[in-house]
Amino acid sequence: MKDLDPVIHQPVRLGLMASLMSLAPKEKVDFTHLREVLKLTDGNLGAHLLKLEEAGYIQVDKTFVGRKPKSFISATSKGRAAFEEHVEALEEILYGS
Amino acid sequence: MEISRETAQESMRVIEQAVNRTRLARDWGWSDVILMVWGAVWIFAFLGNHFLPEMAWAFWMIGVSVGILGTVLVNLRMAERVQSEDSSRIGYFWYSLFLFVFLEIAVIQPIESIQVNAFICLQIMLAYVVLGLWVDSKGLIALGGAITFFVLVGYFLLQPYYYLWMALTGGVTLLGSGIQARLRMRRP
Repeated sequence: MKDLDPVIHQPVRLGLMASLMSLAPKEKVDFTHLREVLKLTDGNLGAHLLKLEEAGYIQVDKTFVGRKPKSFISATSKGRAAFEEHVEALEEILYGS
Repeated sequence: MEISRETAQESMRVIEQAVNRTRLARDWGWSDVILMVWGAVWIFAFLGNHFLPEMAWAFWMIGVSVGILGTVLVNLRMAERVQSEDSSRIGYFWYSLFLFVFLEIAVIQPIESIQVNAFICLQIMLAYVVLGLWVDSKGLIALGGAITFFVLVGYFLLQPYYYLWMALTGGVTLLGSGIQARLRMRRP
């Protein structure tokens, strides 16, 4: 029986991880773009990203595009594995093992 | 950690919504504006070509210049949103396509301007279909297929009205697709 991940299970973080998982493994998304897609505030998104980063599930790369500071976010391999296990656990609850 | 079946269902709904929104933004997040720009360019240039054929070159030169400028600006902006190896490959793909279109026209040497126009439109729609297959976007594939159909109908069945037909079908379809994509992304 797979275990649910308490870090990922929170709805905003669940949506965040799902969003990052839908990108290709080498794709990174900008903080502002992620905020617009998921319709979150800066503070809300930042707090949840920090939690996921502390768990090692995401990587945040700070860089400059032109003169603008940008943060690009991607899921780590640990994060991808944890999310997949979490989804399998949800499916076991819904459809049985 | 234990949760109810209802909570698990809600979690799956959250996942599906996030995935759909992200894929929509990824697939159309750059192209809604580009489609609107090129739709307007096609309507402008095709109508100009139909009503003032002697000035057709000017309409196309202005229109294509605006289209290329708009595309470059949008792509620069998009590079700020998503970093991907695919992004540069897609750019090189378009550059290669236009180079090959130029070379093909030089080799084939079409006799009439309508042939050149239809040929270029079909090559661009081929690119839409290929890109749609590449990024797994049914919308792009459908758009490429629909406008290909319009080109063929216009060229083989409505030649005297080809440019007017393309303005009202191809141009409007491009513009409408861009508007539709933008509205879908803004939906709560």
